[in-house]
Amino acid sequence: MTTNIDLKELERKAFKSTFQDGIWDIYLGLMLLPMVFWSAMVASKDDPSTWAVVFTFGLLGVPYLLFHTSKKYLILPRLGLVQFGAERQRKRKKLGLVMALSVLGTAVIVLITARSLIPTFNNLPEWAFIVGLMGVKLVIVFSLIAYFLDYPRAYLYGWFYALSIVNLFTQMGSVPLLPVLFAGLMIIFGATLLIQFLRNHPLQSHEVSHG
Amino acid sequence: MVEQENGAYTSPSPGEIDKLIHEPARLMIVANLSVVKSADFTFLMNRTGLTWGNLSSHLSKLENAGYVEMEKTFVGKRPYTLVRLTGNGRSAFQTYRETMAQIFDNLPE
Repeated sequence: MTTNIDLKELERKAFKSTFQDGIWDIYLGLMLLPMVFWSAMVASKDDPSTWAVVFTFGLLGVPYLLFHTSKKYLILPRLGLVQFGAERQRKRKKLGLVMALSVLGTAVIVLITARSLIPTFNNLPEWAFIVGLMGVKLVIVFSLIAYFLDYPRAYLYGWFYALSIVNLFTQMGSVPLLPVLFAGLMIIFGATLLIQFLRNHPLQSHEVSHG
Repeated sequence: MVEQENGAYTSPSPGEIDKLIHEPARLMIVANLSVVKSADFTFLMNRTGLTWGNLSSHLSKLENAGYVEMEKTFVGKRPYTLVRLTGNGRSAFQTYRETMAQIFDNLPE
């Protein structure tokens, strides 16, 4: 009986249960949409106004707000509160470092672009190098997120993001369909998980009355 | 495992099994708590499938034995009772696992 208790597996299952509410999937799906909006805006006007740029960045805040609000008011009361051990905290710190390096990587890419330091290969257009670099960076960062957070869907989402970036640049000036498709897939998958989660985890009202 | 005079080992006796942890519901609670730093009632209910009343009753027994400790906290205005294994609780669970492993290892084929 007890010889079969696999504590590592038990911990992994407990940790993974915190990612089965679909909120991350919906969040990542929604984060793709402002890019589509931007591309569509460029398609409609050659020179988007400052307000349009601000609005696009503002759109990035909507999924962030939705993510935190739903985690706090929808998920936490149903899933409960848990703090994981030292190993998970170490992984979280490593992930923080990865994210910081990712931001640094993006800054370097922007700098390369702004300073026109883009190398050219075999007559490929300049943007091909930047898009390739961004795509590789996204796949690596999402893969590390998947690894550190035990969140395997992020491997797939990394490719979704990378291909979306490629599609955005190659189709700039029109409405790119690939990001819309990938965003839709992520949102639908997340919404399905969220509905399942809400069905399986009714709201617990006992905590207030506990001694 | 107990070493005899002739150097042979015997299995621990059933009396050596910690009955407080051995009870299936409490075993699930302790096992789940052993893999986290702390968890609240709702999380433990989800992980163990126990009802609120059952969980509360078993946790009281574990708390009285000094195996778990509880701490009240708030997230926003909502109260949460965080439960964690004490040092005694962790060592009792470790001993329990070793004892049971020895018993199973020494079962005749």
